[in-house]
Amino acid sequence: MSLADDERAYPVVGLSLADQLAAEGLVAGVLLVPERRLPLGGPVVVKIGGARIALGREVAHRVMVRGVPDVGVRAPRESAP
Amino acid sequence: MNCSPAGSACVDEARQGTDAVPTIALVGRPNVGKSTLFARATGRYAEASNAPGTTVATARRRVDVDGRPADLVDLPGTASLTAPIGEETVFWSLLLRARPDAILVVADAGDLARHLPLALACRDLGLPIVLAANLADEAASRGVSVDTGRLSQLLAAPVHRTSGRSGLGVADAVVDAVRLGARRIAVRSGTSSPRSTIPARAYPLDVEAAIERRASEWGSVRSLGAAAAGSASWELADLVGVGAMSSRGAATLDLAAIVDPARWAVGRRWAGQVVARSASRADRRPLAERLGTWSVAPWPGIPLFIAVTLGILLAMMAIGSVLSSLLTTVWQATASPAIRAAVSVAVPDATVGRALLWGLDDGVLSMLAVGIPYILTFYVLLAFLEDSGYLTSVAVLTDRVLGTLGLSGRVSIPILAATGCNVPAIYGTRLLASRRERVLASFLITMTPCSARIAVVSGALVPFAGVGPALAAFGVIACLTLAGGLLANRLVPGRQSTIVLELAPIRRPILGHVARKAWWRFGSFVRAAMPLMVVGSIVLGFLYETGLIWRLTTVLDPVMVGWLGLPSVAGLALVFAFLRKELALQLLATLAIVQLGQGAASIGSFMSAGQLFVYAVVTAVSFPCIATLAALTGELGRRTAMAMSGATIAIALLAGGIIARALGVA
Repeated sequence: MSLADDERAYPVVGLSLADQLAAEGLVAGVLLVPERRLPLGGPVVVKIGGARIALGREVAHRVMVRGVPDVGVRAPRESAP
Repeated sequence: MNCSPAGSACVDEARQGTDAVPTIALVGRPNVGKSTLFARATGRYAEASNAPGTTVATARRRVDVDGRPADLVDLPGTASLTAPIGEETVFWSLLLRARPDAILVVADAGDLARHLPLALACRDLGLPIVLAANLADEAASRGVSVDTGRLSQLLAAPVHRTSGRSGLGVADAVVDAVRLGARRIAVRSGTSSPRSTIPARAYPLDVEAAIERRASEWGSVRSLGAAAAGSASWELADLVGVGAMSSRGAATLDLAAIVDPARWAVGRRWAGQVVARSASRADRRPLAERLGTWSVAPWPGIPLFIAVTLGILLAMMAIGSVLSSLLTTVWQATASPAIRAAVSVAVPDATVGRALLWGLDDGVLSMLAVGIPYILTFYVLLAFLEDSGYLTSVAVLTDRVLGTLGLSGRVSIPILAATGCNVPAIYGTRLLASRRERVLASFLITMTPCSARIAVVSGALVPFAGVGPALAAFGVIACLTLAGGLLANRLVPGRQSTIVLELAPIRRPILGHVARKAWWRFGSFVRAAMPLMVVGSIVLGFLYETGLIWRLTTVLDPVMVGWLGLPSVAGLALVFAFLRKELALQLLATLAIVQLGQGAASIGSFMSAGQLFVYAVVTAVSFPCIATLAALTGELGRRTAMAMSGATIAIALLAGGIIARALGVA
């Protein structure tokens, strides 16, 4: 599943590049909200809490998330929980 | 309570004083206002901006707190103690080399969940901490309030609401940090009995158990010496051995993979307990947040980026030329006649007197006409952009383009900074992940026109050829930089990294901060450039007045005249530009003034518009100045620095010759 397909919230369940991503708060258990996917293979911008993080497409592909319908979580449009 | 800078005792980059003076390290995530708080606490400007990685080196200054001296150390922003911030630098090492007695952790009051993990990591090191819930005024405007009392209980450390911008709570936070630091010194020296400094365990039991097991192993390092650390980091072992870090701290660094997620969970839980949000304000989406979202969208983000770039160039040319006329007129009307009269009286030898006037009058005049107006204007514009938080949006927008050069968008921040000065930009590449990225980025930086080179291009072309040719020259330079980057990407082996970057919030810059930052950088520039300009001009004056100059220029004639179609003396100015790039035009201006009389317009009669175009492009792209070369050598080694310099000369001469033929000047 691509991160930037919609605006739902996804609980993160696994990571690659763990150190770098953990420093940005992208650890298993957090909710992230995809905000924008730049064209031509550009970065994906996600919201984690009050922060906006740009992830290169290669990194974004390594972030494993679980679909919202499984857990019934949906983040508000304007701000992440 | 009193917290004030200690006047002349303020020093940078060096540990001053004795061990009895508490040292307080400021630690925080990038863009949390740490350097602004540092500047507020010390009463002196510190290089800071609303962009990650502004503070790459450390700054140390002494303050007076209730009559007690203390050293404050500003460290680079870091997202974590365990994540690498560069191939060869580990933040905890940088932190502990500062030998702090306490840590002042600067966190964003509006986003505590994101900042508490770093505070926990600092606490785990075994040093006393104070938490500054910074940007508290900004958080309050968004309806966010923090229960500092409750957070202080949870963290087992003092917590203060602070604002580096307004000064709110800064003195109190520093006073607490100094008090804790002084107590630690007293305990270590045996003049005070230790209190229990072990805070309540915060992590899940299994994580705590793992930490305890590893900490007991590190405990043997403390008692038996660093050799007991086995294969562990020798530096870490040394720090534990001398008591600069607790065994628990070393254990948490070792076990980052399991401790970091636990810290984030604790941070979220604690933030949930201490942060209250006003419902009515939380529903509103601030304009700044909307601007932040738009700035990374292809529409209107990319047109906005192009508009901002062109706007900077045009504003610099327009404001720079007005300032140039003003400063030139004032100098010629006031200082110039006085200096000429004084030299004629004090120096009886006419040749020596004229040579001195090359530096004291013409040299300063050409700096006022060419260097200062454009550079000052540029520094103001750059400071405004930095403080607005826009630069990280540029990093996201340019990531794909920079990807074709083997770089991530993160590089755009040092490259944009390079348009001010290449040297700090090269130091800024320390934040990049690999040596390959640092080499490629540094090469692009050396080809990126700094404010001095922009001033050369603007000053040479705008008055004598017009704005159009000046913009065309910048276009040519951009194309050459791109071509050089593509070539370097093919030649330098290694794997490309990818961007992971927190976007800075868009903020309205405080004009006072912008002015102070621009003035501080401008002062640094003038102090470095003016002596070189004056002395260089005097040396050139002697060469000219004694006729030696024409023998030296003969050596350069085959390239300058034969290949580039420039006057032979232009080569000499280019060689002198190795000292400071702005000398390239100012010495030309000085030559023109001496040869053809007063007034910047004389450059136009000294060289044609086509020749000035070639000269501007060659100067902008070719060999870095001596300061840049020193920075490159220090960061990447002599061979790499020389290879880069040779490559820029080859590209500049090749392109210059082709352009000269296209324009019919050679």
